[in-house]
Amino acid sequence: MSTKITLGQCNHARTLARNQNASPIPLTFELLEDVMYLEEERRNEIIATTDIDRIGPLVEYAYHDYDNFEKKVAPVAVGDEVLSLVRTLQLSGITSMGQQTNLQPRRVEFMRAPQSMREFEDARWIAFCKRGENAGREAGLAKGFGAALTGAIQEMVSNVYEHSEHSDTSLVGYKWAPHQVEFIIADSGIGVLESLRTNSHYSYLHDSGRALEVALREGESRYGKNVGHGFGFRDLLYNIASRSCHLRFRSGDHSLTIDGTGEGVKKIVKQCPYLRGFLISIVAILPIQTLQS
Amino acid sequence: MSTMIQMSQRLAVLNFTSQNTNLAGSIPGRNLLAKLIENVTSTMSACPVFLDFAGIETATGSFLRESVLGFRDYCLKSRLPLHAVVANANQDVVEELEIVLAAENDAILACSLSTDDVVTEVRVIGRLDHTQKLTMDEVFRRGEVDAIMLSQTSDEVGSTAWNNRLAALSGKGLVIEEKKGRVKFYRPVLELK
Repeated sequence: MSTKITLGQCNHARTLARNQNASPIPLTFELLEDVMYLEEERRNEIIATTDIDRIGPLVEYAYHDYDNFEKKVAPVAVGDEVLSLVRTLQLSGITSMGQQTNLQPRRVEFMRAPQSMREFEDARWIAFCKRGENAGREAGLAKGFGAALTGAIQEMVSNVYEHSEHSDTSLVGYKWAPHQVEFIIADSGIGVLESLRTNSHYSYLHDSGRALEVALREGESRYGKNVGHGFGFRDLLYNIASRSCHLRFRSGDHSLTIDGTGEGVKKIVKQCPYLRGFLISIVAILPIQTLQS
Repeated sequence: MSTMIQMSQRLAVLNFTSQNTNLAGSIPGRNLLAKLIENVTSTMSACPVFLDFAGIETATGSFLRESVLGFRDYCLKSRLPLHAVVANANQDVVEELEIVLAAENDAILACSLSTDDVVTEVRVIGRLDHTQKLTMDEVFRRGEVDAIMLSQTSDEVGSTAWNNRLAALSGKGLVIEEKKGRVKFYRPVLELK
């Protein structure tokens, strides 16, 4: 189902406004950055419509102004993705969610991430993780790859709890369709740069782009270099190199993209509109012959 | 090669993870550590504690650091005669553990353990330097050693050096240290017969 969301003025929006018969354009990260820049300049008088295909840009849009996410997203809430996101963001945590312990994945689902050590063992959280893993399987991912991917997601969620200092704002989500599955993790915490800079070893870091690169390097975290922390991304990065995935890490005024969906694996660090906290988007789009290998 | 363990403890990881077979993150690792400590039985004499990973599909480095190495360190720091041994871990789990251990120049014992407690494939995983590896091999080969005994095997290495090497292995929980009179003896946690 096509979900429509209202966005502010942007180049794409102008094009759309001129041609009312044009099909809604998909909400991509590129379009979103355009919108965010214009919102920052308070130039949002033109309304456009767009399709929600990926949950990553939708969540990034909500987290761009986390405290006002309802004002931005809720008034035009139509469709499963938006409704599910808004409903979940209104909840304070796992304990305020219903007793959903079945393992059948939904098409799209969001959940508040654990906010205490005990919540990591909550049956609802474990079932959600299993549904996420099963979503990968339904999409056609090989069992081992799906397990590694969801393992990496859980690792990142644990990192959010440990490092964000605002795990009450954290969110996890997945969406699947045949041959593709998407995961999202977001928080509106202190962000990667500030987190790393709590360790004097990283006091030299001054921009979020460099901080993202350092954080993703094997064996580095706010605890310092090669002290046994920061191994969580290893499996994921390894899989990106060998499988067809698109990853976007977003914190502060930068994004770091690792794209393995084309030829080879491309890493791009780019300046973006400011986003408080940390957001990770992972999309696996795999051809059938790759899926079962 | 196999050996029957006379006295040991087995803690099945799967029983403490709500049957979750993909283990990730330092917080869940700390949760497991708390349960391992809660469920291990204190003993008077040296005893291997098998952390049984049967049924676990994946475990990330930070999970293993907090749980497995955390438990090993807890035993060492508490001066409990308990020696953590990783049992029945699949290749993925072992590889992840090796990365964590290598980064810290550390090592731990691993093995396969049958349902009737038969131990096979005893090995050290992680990183030992050349002299520590040599010393470990001697402990495995001889069964029980002290520094003076080892110093008699070579004119080049004195008893103090051997003593340091043995103490380093003991500090990683790889060998059992026992004082008899004024002499410290060292023997393997798992014997190869």
